[in-house]
Amino acid sequence: MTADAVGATFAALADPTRRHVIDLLADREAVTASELARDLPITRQAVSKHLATLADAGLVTAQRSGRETRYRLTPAPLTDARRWIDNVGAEWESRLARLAEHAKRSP
Amino acid sequence: MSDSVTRETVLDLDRDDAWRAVTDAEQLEQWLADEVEIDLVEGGDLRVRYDDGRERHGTVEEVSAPERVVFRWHPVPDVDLETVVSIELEPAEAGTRVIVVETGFDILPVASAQACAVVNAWAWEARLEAAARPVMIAA
Repeated sequence: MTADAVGATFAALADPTRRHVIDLLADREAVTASELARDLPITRQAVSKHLATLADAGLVTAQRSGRETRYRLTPAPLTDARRWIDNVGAEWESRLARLAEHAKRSP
Repeated sequence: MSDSVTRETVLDLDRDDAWRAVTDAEQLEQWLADEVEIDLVEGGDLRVRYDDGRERHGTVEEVSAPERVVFRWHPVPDVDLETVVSIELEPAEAGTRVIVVETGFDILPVASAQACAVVNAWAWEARLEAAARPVMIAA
């Protein structure tokens, strides 16, 4: 996954309310903004805004049925972000390997 | 999943030389990044650049020669995610042990066991290479 896409995921997750929204979505099949607003200390309009940000980052998908829009969690970016973090460990491993090599060459 | 990453190695150097290897800009350029600028005082600036154009900015948090240097940096460009890197030096039998701990990834394990379960189930169904192992474990 590209750094930009991971960046969008992290930017979306940086907000505690959006993380709460994700937790609520993980618990249910597909919910409306009004249903989510009942479990959050914010208005339905504010929930909709957060859902739009999450949708932009690919973390939720919206599905219209009749007059309502239902939102569902799409976990793919979370998995990618998780792998990105795993990669942080791999990066340190190669940095430290270079450091050990450098130490051997030093007088 | 824990919200930190720890890696270590043993350097064939005494602790003072190891300290220079992990704090001197010229030496950091041998292993940390292609270009490094570091102002080695608490609150000092850290800038690292890679030849592919990536850049990271950070701030030195702690300088305790020759034992520990700590800095914060932004691992993802333009994103308000700040992680803390601690580089610790310990005398070892054959030189000096370097222990790197990077923390601050806790925004990801989206807190709840449910979110992790959904992600794991999804990864399994999608039969990605990661499907063989759980990708998230609730913190």
